[in-house]
Amino acid sequence: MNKMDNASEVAVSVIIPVCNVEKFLPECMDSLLSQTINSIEFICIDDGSSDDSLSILNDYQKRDKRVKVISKPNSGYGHTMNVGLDIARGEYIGIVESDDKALPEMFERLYSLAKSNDCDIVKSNFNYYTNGELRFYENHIDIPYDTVFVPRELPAIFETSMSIWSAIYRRSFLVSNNIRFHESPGASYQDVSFNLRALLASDSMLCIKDAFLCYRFDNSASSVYSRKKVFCIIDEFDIVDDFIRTRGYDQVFPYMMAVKYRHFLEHYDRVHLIYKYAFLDRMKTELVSDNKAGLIIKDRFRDYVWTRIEKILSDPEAFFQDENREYIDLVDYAPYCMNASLSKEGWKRILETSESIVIYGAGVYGKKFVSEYHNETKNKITGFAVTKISESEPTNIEGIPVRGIDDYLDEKGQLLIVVAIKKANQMPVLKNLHSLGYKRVLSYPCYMFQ
Amino acid sequence: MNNPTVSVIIPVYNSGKYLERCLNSIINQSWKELDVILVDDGSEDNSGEICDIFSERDRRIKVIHKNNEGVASARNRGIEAAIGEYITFVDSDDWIDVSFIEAAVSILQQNPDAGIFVGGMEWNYIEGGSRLIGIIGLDYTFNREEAINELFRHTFFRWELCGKVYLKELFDHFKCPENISMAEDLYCNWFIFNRVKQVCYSAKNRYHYFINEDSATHKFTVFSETTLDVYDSIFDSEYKLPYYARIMLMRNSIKFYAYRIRELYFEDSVLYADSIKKDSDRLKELVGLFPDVPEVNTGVIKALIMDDIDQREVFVEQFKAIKSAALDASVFVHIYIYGIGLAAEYIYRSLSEDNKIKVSFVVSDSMYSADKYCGKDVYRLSEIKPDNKNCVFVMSLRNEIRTDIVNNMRMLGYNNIIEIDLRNIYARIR
Repeated sequence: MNKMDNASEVAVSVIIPVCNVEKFLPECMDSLLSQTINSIEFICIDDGSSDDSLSILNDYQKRDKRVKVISKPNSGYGHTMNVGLDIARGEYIGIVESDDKALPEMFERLYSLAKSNDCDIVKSNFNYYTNGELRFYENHIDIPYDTVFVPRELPAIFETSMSIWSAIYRRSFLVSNNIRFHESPGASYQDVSFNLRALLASDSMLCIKDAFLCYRFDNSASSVYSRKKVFCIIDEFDIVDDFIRTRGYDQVFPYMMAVKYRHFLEHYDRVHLIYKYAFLDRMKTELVSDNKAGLIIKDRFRDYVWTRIEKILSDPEAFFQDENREYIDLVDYAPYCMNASLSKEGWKRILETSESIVIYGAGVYGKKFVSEYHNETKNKITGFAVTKISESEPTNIEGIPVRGIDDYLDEKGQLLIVVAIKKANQMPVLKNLHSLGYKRVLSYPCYMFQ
Repeated sequence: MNNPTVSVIIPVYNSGKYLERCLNSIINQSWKELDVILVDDGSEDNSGEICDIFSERDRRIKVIHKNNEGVASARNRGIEAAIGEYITFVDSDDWIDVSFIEAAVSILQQNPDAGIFVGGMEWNYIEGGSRLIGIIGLDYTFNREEAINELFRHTFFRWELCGKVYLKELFDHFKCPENISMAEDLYCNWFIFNRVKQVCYSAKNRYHYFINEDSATHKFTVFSETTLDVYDSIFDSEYKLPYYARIMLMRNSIKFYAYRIRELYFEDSVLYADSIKKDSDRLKELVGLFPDVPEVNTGVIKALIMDDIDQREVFVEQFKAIKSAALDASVFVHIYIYGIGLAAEYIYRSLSEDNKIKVSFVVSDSMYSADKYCGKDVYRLSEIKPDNKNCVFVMSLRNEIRTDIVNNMRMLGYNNIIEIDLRNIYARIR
């Protein structure tokens, strides 16, 4: 099917990807049906919703002929958007997320500016929409308004938020440049390669200060658990890098690299701890390669980003260890103590049910432990242990004997040992206890259960 | 409710000689209020009869005979038929300490918020010897999060259904999935544990898990895809599984995939080519996510995920060589397999089951080893006096150490030695 055969009888096609948004969908659809422009169609694609989203869409379709509804099995945002792009026949394409809403004059304003200025892209600012209130966000604060420009010649445009739902795109422009969405199911960040390729390929863009789209910001800045989402951001930028090379836009690399690695590091900070090392590994490989190609230029990076980039290039292992002590500890220590089995509150319970506690370490940390768990350890501490008794050590602390660890071997089945010494010295002690057959060991204060 | 009944569900399938030991340990329990359900899953030996005999002798025992549909279906039938307030599962070749159930009931009654009791676990090997699992002497009450974590962490207990006593109501509207062949215990416990507030642990009384000859020849091709799907779905679930549990889960996944792929190569690399490719891709994805995990950097795993066709051909060639050697050896009456590693196991499994052929294992005099491997006797080289007409040695040693030993054997006068070019792909993936 030649996509250009769809005659442009319609000014704007709005693509609305839908997946399990029954709660917010009516508000979104109402705002779309209230658009002041008449020549508009709404392409709603249900990506295999399991809630009532599809039936809500079908109701809207009955009410208004401009609403087209397509339903398909769940295959992800990228594929859903591409289905919409293929069906759309408007002169311009808009995108609205199904949990957001659009102010009534949005598409009329954007379309009229696009037509009168003959632009590929017209983009506006947007509002954050939380608890029924709108908060204006000036996404294009460093961009000249109301004037047509070539985006790839303006580095600042690449620093703005992707927000592909605050713009309209000339459909012939997207088609002739083959700008579509990357289709990995379960992936995220699929707006990145779409947005950046559009900005790179366009010769005519216009920004306005007004905001029409109300973006319902959900606090899903939570950790990324899903394996499929771990490397997506890298895949998206690979697509962008290839595009730059194929089109010969290499002059943009210096500032595009800054954008890329800023995004990578943001993702690195968000990704689940257990994937961080893997992500860092990929990021480092890419960084080394880009650096070798001479594309990493310090001046283009924000300071706080550059410090981290430098560290990754010079000493990636240290970079990981400095920032992820907890993960390394977890993996290193976990086989030798009970810590990874106990929540913080579980410590109290295990101390309560222990009859006989020996504290390994007769110093500051031991005292700290006793005072922190004073109630749970009352009258149960039967001894202190040190690796080897020396003449300078006291033989008892407040009446409780101090002995070499070997002296406790006979009772090892009954004792709970709390290793309360400096972190740096813990590992050899834990390993030794493990090899001697002590199984009830806690490393203080190491709360590994997260 | 002072004397609650405990339903003991025992799936039975060709349990033969171990079944009586199991049943005796149940009927001799100090806790008398039992509802024992023996589910005979279409046994072909005399297990069914043994069940009936026990049932006649003891009113607490009932027997269900059914067609063979697998252990999960047997458990489900048992659950349906159970009338106790509590439920526990015992495998028919295992047994439990005499006070196991009494301790469970007592602890569960003292802890009304606890829905599950977990006892101690001891692995008993057929060749003798045992290993204690968990932390003896420690009684601890886990909250739900900690308990689920422990299913993967394996410090106190593991994910088996056996050795745990559950409130029967936890199994309401739940059936063990009957279409997955391994890790269905994990799946069930993952579900059931999510329904409780607390889990009580006490290792004083033990469940004895019997490891018989089949453990060494356990066929990993039965790791169906659905098994690994269970891992995947748990791993990707939004449930806030603690870090270490996720790590352990993934490490297990990596191990199982690697084992499965290697087994598929052993069985038939042509027939299973599609499965091999699919699993290798999944393994590669996992390895990409955990580049810092020690298991991942073993030669075996690296070889399995290599894109280089030549590397993968190593597996095909190696197993071909093993099967060919086994065939050559089969003209002899007594086959000695030299070595007791994983390669030796593959050689053993490649031999056809012919009652006229005797198979034994041999180790160097300086090697420490158990008396049995794969259920067969293990000898020291100096202990045997093979006669050159009827005996053959099949060397299951790596190339590096094989030559010296073979030279030594030739000097001692042994003639029939089959050597195999064995590469470093036979590591057990821990």
